[in-house]
Amino acid sequence: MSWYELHSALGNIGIFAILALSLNVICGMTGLLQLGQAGFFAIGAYAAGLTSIYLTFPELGVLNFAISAAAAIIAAGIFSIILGIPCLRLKGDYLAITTLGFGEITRLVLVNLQFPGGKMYPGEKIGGATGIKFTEFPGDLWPAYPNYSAEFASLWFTWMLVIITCILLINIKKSSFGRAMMCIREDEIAAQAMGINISKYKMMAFLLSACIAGFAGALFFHKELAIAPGKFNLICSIEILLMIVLGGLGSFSGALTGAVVLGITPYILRHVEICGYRLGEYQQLMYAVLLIILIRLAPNGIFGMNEIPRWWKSSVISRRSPADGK
Amino acid sequence: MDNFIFFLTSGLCIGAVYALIALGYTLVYGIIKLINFAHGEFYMVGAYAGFGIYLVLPSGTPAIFAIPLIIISSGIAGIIIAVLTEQIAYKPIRKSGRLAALLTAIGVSFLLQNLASFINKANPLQYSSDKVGSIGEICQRSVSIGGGGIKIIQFVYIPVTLALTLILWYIVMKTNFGRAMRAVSQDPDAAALMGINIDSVIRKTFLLGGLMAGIAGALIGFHSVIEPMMGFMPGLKAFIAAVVGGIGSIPGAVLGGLIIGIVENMVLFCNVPSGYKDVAAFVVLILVLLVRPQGILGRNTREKV
Amino acid sequence: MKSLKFPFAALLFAGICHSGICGEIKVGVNLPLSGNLTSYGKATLDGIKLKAEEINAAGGVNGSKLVLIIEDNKGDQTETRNAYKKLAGSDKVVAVLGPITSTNAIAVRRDAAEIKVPVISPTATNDKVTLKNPYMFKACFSDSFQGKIAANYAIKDKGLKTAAILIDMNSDYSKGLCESFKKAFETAGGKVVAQESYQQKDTEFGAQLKKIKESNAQTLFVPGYPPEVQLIIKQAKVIGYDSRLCGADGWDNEAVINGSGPNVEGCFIVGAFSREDQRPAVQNFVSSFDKMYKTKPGTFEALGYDTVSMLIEALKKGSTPEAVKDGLHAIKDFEAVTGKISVTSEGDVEKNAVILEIGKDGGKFVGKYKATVNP
Repeated sequence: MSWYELHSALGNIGIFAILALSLNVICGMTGLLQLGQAGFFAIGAYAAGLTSIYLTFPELGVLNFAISAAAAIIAAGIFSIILGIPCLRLKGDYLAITTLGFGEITRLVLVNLQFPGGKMYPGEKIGGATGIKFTEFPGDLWPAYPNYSAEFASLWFTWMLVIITCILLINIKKSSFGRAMMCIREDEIAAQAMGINISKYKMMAFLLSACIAGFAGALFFHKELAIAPGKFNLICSIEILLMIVLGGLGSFSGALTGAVVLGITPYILRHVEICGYRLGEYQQLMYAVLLIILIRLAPNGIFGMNEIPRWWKSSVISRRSPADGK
Repeated sequence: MDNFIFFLTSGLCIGAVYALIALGYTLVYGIIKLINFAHGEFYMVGAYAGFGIYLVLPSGTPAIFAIPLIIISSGIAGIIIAVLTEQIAYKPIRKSGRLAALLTAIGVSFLLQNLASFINKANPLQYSSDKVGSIGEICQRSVSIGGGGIKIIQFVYIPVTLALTLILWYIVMKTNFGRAMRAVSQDPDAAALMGINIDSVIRKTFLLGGLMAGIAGALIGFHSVIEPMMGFMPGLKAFIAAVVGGIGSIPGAVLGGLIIGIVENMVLFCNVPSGYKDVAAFVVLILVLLVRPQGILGRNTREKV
Repeated sequence: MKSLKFPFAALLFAGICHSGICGEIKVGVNLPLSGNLTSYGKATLDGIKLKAEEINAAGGVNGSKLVLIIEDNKGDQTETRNAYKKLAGSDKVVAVLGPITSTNAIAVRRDAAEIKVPVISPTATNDKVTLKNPYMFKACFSDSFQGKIAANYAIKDKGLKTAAILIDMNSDYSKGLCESFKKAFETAGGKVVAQESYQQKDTEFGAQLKKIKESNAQTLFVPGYPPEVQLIIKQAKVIGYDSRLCGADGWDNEAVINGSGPNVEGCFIVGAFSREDQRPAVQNFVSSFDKMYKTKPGTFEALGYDTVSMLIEALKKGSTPEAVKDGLHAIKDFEAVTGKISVTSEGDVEKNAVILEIGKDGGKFVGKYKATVNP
């Protein structure tokens, strides 16, 4: 395996870790099954891409990344409000299907929509099924559009953000905000009886989850420099869901773990050969089988709902002897 | 006006196929409240099985015998895969909750798609239309409707769907087995107390659903390409059709299927760029879920505290 | 930036190692060997391997043998970039052959300019691949040229005045060809009366074909690839559109020519290569290919072969990536299998194309060689 492949892989895993964390906010903490996360990821990536194409100021240097990231977050946030309002009334399977529909509509619209080319591609239209590419335009324009991907898609930056997001979200989970959302997950009617405004908290869950996913999209654009709608499909949403299910729904450290495990596996598989069969070709097949077996044998995932795994917790607790007292 | 007739006819024909697949979704959801994501793949398996039988038949077989034979074998393949899936994947997790069931269904869907990619290395298959009088050639024959060609075989969809719907309706409403199905869908525990064999009822429901999907697969396979991902979009749209018509309701599934088929084509009629055709189904879904979440013909179940 | 120090160091090592001291010249190959472009990738690889073996059997280049380092880019943009970075950055090749699609070639442009190892795409045709980038080269003609040829043949030789175009939305190649065909067709006095599009993996084209039929276009230009092209040809008949279709080099393979049913007869395409061309270079290539692989070569094989020939020609100037780049730019009037090649300052090639008309030969359809068109 080459260093470049590994570098790229770790970067992608970081971005998907942020996505998994974001999905955990709405699925794990608030209990709303959301199958359209790839849609917010796509919106964030496209917003960042378009901002980079229309609004790059070479004088600002690194701040350009901040501008595109802000655009990504705002765009994702707006769409999450648009999606969230109708979804407030829906439950269970219907919610899942609506969000799935949203994800697919986003992808289909992005496949067909063409954007004006701006200064970079004068007179042309960009977008559509081939997506937005930062690499197409004439080489002599490149100094005006510095390639920040080396810095902002670099591993240390991405993973620093992963850790920050994780810590932030764990703190939210422990706050009254997080507790309200978990209440909604457990029993909506009881939560309402306790005086929690479930509409407000559901909306906030949507918003938070989408904004983080949008930010991940911005990171993704700056890493890849070429995004196309094909990657932001239902399979992508399901992969993110699989990560948090593996780690344990409701646990942020679990989401992180799940993302790392599921992210690194294809890269390992690609370089393993058993009896002459390159395992990499069967990766999707193995994912599917893994999913089915996992649900059957370990439906709560590795961590369950806790931030530290149950087995660690219980082993720590059982180490105390009764004589120590409580 | 011409254009309108063309798109309306196209819509009815494809709507009949969506209806057929939607029937399977609605039956399964009615019984065990599971959205069987893998249902689209049963359709795909049916199409492949039909093609397989076609390859095995001696080349001189007249189409008049071959076509019904292929349809029947696809139906049987659909039955086999549906029952197998239910026994191996769904039955063990029946008590594990909604999310588990949904994820397992997704897993089965991916699994079937990937297994199918080993056939012909995922290259699309098609009935060969070289020889006049061969199945492929007959199914490509078209007639001009409203200025555009519609393949003759597409007109077969509507009567087949209607016939199967009537048979299904008869089974559900007039037979003992149908009564058992309805009992399980209303209250599985009470039904078990009444002596109904839940496992058997569920298995047979999957059987019926698989049969419908398999036959739909054969019908489409005759004139379109057969490839591993062919069930994904139709499955999704058929599910939307079932929801739109009222999930759990048989006439609802048929109505939903026809609505989705017609709306898709009407979108094209209104000169919307053809890339947006698939969006139409999802937009209809969201609208229906907002306005009448139980679907057009669905029953409104209130949640009791 | 730390990511640039590594390739510069690599270049230094490359300079030392490849001045013939090590006795071998490493050439990177970046092709789709899995995924849906596999057959094209393998075909191109066959052509590349044939030429590499021929030159090694004849003693190599300046005494050094060519060593191919092959990476599979799976037809994906990210993988293409990773493969290029590995080949150019850590394997220290003198040049990278591939990728084959315009979309993937465009994706490595920036990396090529930063790492400074030349990229020669055997088959990409989009103009943007080489635009203002001294390290990107194409071995095949550009879409602007192809579109012009198709349009001119349609108007001048076939007398067709109105045309419709049906493009593949997922492909830069298709979109680029559409633009150049349209421009050339209208410049020559024709009129494009309808333009429709489809997505890759679509199987039903009834709606688009109906609109095209209603436009009464005298021909339909379909700059796409299999498997959609075959379905379009078949469904055109079903919908009742009787005029002949035409296409570009995406049609130039068995799957399209013989897999589209009887409606393909009389259609013409622009190609890069024809087995029937009687030039000695072509016939020698065909017979050596047949001897090695026991089958007849097609366009992709021929272009792969020519790409290595171009590289060998450039290597005469030196074996560092910079020397190869200069050597490639210096190629003029080079006799290759797919025609006489001259590399422009942009990195494009000026060469001729062929027009093939599809007709019956025995029981099958073949592309019959009709004409050679020079730039």
